[in-house]
Amino acid sequence: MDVSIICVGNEWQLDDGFGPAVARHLLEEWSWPESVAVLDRGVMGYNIVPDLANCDFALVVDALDGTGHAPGTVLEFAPEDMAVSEGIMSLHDVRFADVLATAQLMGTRCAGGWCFGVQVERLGRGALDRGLSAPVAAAVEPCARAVVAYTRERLGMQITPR
Amino acid sequence: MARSTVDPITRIEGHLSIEMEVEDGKVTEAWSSGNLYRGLEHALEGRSPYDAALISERICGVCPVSHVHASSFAAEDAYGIQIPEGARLIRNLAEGGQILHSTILWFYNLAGLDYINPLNALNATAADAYEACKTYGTSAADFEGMLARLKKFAENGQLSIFSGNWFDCKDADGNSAFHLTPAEDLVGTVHYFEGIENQAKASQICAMIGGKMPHIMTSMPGGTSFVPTAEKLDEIIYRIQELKTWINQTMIPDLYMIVSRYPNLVGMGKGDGHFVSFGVLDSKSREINERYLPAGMVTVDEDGTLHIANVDVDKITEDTTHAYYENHAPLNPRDGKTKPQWPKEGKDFSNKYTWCKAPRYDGQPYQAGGIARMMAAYIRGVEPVVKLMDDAMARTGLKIQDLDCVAGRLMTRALEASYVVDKMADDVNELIALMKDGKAEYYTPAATTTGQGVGLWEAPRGALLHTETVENDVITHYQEIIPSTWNLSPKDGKGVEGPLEHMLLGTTVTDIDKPLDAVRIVHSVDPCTACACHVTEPKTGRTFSVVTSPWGVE
Repeated sequence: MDVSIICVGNEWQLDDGFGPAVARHLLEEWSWPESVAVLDRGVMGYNIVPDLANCDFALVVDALDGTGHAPGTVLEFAPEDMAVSEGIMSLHDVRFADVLATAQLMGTRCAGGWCFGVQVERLGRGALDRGLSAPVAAAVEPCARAVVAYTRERLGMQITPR
Repeated sequence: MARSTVDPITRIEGHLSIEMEVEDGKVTEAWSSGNLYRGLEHALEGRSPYDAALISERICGVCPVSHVHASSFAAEDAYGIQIPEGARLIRNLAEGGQILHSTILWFYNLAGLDYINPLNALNATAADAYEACKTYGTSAADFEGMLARLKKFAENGQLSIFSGNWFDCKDADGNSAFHLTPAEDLVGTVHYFEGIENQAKASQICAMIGGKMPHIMTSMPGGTSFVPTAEKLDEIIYRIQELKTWINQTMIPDLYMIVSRYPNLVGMGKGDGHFVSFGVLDSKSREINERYLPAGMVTVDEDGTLHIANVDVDKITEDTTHAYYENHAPLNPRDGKTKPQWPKEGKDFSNKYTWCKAPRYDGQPYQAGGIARMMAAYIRGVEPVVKLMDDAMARTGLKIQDLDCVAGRLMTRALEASYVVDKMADDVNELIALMKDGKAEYYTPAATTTGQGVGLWEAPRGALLHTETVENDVITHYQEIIPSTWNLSPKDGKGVEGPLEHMLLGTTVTDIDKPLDAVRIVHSVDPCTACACHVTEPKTGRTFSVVTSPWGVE
């Protein structure tokens, strides 16, 4: 079984950079089997579709908002619980849920998925603002561990610390 | 009289709004507002031209390749460098990949939903869809599979990804504004998704050459740091061949399907017949008038008489009368300024209403984009383009003077993709021949560190200019004029509207809340203005669960 761990977000928009930070942590701290791809996909929008087409199971890490939880809270959810955009606003506003819906309509091979994320504290407002807020930065390692635990326990993959 | 405002315009790249005065169902005045300040030039001053090329491409995630190339041309002009043949071919291939990526994305995924209604596809049968493919000569696919997935999505209420569109709009005669039959909509929907796959394939060519995409890392003043190998070229050739097949057998037939079902697109969004092309895809001579898509200032008269003049950079100015910048007389970009000034009274159509300056050539607005490049290539007698255009005009019954409208913009740009993919195949062969002869060189170092240069090039959306003044490898002045500012330009100091504002005049508005034809016109110039962030939110009625002990039992 091929697994893609797809981490998304814009590192130049404050807490939106959570996904890439988790990707770095996963790659620096852990050794992954060949069948697992840890991907920092930034703001690639529809260019993530081929990643979904090329795996059997996708794990997703993204910044979250509107969850009702305190900033820095690590959350998990099923892909179908994500809100899709009402129509495509702009190619710059494509969310992961939109990418997933598109991939599914295209008839992708990816049969299932699970998602992790963190409630953000502050997002950028168009300017290039880099850096995670303290509670979100503190959530990088717990979230990475949750991804590792899921991949081991639910997907039966061998993952060892570096 | 009524006001019709579309803010934001959806399905574009960035943040644009239009406001229109509507009288008796027709647009009498229009204002186009770019709602984001960029000011990237300020980040480039004080840096070396080598850094500037890589930083300046960060202005855009859709056309970064054009920006790194325009910036490199500006530096090469300042330093008097001519890049080697190997570098020319490789940069062309990256640029070509980006043109194809942009055109496919625009045709299907941005503009396409103005014509294709995926919700109506639910009423089709696969058998009818195969018939529609035969009628238009477009490619068939697994229509049963797509119908099943669409139905499942509809049952689960997941089709809201299409719900922001205006599929309920009516034409002036009261009939649906969407003219495709359910079977044609099913064909269009399947191809819409194939478009997503194929734009990615084109983008992969840029990534293979540039190390990554967006924002390729290998093009630089002096040439490229990408050194091709047989394996890498194989990967590129394979994608060029696949794209060629798909463009010719799917996108172009779909174009004719749309144009034949929407005769109202002819004459919709009529421009004033002025086109600017700076030329793109360098030929051996490195002359901008001899590029595969050559440069030229084009005028098409009402009677079809064609004129072309060579581009004279001295005649380019930018006017800030109605833009959120300090007022000054129109300036040539070599002396241009970027001094933002938000007016005290805010956005005001009689004063300042956009972040786009108003570029003018010899004091006149000009339309930029695929249609401008194809017009210049047609008039300059570029053989394959002349044939493509003549065939298209014969097939549709349109004359050259009819093309400056939504139908013509869709047509010329789709045809351009067919030409570009062929030129890419030629360039790869030329590169292989150079490599076999051991003559492939990729970099020419600079012999000087001071100068002033202008880079003229084309982004997919149109004419692109970068200019820089460099002293001892440090940039003291930098200006860019990006394509969408030509098209989305506000009125100038003389009160002359920009090309898009002009195109909107006289447009029929049947519903002031959903001015569909106006949006079709906006999409026909493929506007691009900015960048943001994209968080995930829970669906209404759903919650996300807290991960309490991620480490489990360990």
